[in-house]
Amino acid sequence: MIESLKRHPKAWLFSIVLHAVVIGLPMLGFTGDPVKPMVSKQGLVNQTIKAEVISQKQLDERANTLKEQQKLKDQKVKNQKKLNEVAKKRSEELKKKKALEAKKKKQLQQKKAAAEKKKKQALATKKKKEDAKRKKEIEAAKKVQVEKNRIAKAKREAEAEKKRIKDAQLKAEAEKKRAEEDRLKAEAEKKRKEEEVIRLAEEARIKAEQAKLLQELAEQRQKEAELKAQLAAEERQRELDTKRNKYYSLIRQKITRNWRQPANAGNKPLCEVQVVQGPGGIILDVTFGTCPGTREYRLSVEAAVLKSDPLPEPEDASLFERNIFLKFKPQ
Amino acid sequence: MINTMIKRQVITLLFFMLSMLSQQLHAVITIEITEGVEGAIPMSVVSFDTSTLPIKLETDLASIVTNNLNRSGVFKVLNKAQHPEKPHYSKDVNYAGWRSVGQEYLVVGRILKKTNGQLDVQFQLLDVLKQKQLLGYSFPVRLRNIRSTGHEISDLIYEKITGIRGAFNTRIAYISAQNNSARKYVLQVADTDGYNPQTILESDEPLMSPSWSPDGQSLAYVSFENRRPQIFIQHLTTAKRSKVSGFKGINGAPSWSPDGKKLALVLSKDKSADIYIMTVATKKLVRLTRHRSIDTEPVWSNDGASVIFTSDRSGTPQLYRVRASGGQPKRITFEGRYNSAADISPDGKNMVMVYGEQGRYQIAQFEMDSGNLNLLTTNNLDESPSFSPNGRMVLYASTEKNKGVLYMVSLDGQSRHKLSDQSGDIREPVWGPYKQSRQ
Repeated sequence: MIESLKRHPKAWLFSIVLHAVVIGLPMLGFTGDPVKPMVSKQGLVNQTIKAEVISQKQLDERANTLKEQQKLKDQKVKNQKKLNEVAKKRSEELKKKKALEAKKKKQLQQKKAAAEKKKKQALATKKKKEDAKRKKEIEAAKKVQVEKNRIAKAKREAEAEKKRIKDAQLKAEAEKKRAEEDRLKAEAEKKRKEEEVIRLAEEARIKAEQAKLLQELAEQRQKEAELKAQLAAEERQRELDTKRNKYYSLIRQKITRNWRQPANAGNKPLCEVQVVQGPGGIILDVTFGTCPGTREYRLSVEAAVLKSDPLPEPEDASLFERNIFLKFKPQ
Repeated sequence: MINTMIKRQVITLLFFMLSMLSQQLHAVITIEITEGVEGAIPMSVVSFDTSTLPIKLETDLASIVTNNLNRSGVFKVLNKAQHPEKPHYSKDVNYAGWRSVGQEYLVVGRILKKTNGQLDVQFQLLDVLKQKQLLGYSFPVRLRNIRSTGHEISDLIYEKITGIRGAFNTRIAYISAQNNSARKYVLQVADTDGYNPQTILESDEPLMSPSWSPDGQSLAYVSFENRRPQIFIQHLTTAKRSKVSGFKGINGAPSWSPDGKKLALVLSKDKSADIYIMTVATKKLVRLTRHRSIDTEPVWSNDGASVIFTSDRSGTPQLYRVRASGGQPKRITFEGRYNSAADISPDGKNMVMVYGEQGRYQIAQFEMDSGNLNLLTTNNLDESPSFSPNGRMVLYASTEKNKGVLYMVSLDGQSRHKLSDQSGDIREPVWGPYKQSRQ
């Protein structure tokens, strides 16, 4: 221990000083002048205990630290004992010195407090004066302020009145405007309705006209269709007529080809023959009407018809004539 | 009241029927046929079947019929070589085949043996177009009459188709001058086809102007047997003959009246040749014409009311008509320088005559009503036209190689045929009446 002291005197010294401060300071503090409580303008300091959350590792580390600290503590206790013995001696010396110093200091302080008191009294007087003065100023200010407020209030009221009047005016105007608008609106509505009536009438008229036009168009189309149909019918009729003429001509030609007129049968008068033909032009019956000629002549007519069996058929089946009236009249 | 109602109903009914009729008439179309080739009726006569007969017939019945019908001009009979088939019964006929060769009628027949030595001639006239029989006959015939049967068949066919009585089964008479060792004149009667000529009279002197009595029993004629012309009447079957006119001068051109009681004739006993009418039974004469010119060749009108004759009173021979009861003759013909030898058709509508112009003498048809003249022949020297009893044909003589030959021509002039089997110089043919007059 001694050797360590020898070898590390500074460390030892430092440690002692440090211990001294640690121990001495609180003593010093408590032993010092009472500190006047300072009222914080911010109120009480909120000194809450801050809880620390420590993890397991930290706990282990802390345990280790505590062990170390315990070791060190034990060491320190030993050392403390020695130190305490030293310190005891030194403390006694110090105690004597300190008591001296404290006496001196007390004296000094008493002096200082007297000065202070004096100064404080001066200050309080001064302050009293200033407060009065300030009070006076405040009241004056207050007075001004009241006046000021009164004026402001009057002004405000005037303005409110003004505003009220203005509002009423505006309101009236708005009312008026609205009435005007309503009137205009009504007029517009009326006008709109009138126009609507006219428009509807016009629409109806146009509609009627269109309907009429459509009607006329339809009628025209109808007429055109009828005309077309008529033309088509006429065309078909013409075709039929052509075919009919052809049909009759074929019959006439065939019978003419087959008519061997008797050479010496005297005069050859008009001979009328009714022929009945069946499908395919097959001659079913030959009946004589007026035929004043000779028998030879009549037979020649009959033979002409019979030789023409079957009679030619028409191109259009509708032209087929079951009954054919033949007039034989040599020219 | 009830009567009126019934009348009304009947009238309504009649009206209804009439309207129906008119509707029916309106429903049919009318086609006029105004043209057509004039021509003969095409028909065929198939050879008659003789296969069952024990003998071979020399007479071909079918060819008799064929020639007759062809000669008429009414028919054009198909040459048998062109027949599509040779049926003898209607049931065997394939009408389509005949129609395809343009035939309208067909005649089939057969000659069968009868027990009593007669033949049974059967024929059918078939209408090809109608495919039906028009006629079917069976004739019991002796062999020697087989030609006559052919003519009768021809008549039946002709009448069936033309409506006019056929005149094939009649006879003709004519004068034939024959030049064998000596010149002979023969009055002959023959079938209308010239076959089967039979001599009525044979003379060394000329025979002229035969005329048939209307009953066909007698002939009047002029004979020069007494060196001058005299008129005789001869009965054909009995051969009994009598002189009816032997006046001085001309006794010529006898012509029987239609009733057979009178003869018109030409006499020149009163200087000029004029027309007289003799009542056959009494020989009483009535002079019909009185003119210094020659009046000759009188013929009776069909009704016997007038006589037409030839006269040169206008300078050239022309035809005149005079009432049989007398009167002023009226000239009929004005066309042509020469018109003579008239014959009047049985219906009185036509006259045939010899029309002469510029040295040509032809047979002309003259329509009595219209006066239209129509030349029927084209030769230079035709004479003596004579109507067939049905008026459809005209028999006449023509001159070929200085010989007279017999011809027939149809009334329209379309069909002219020379009669076959003629010998000698044949003149003055005259067509006899029907064998039996029909009721």
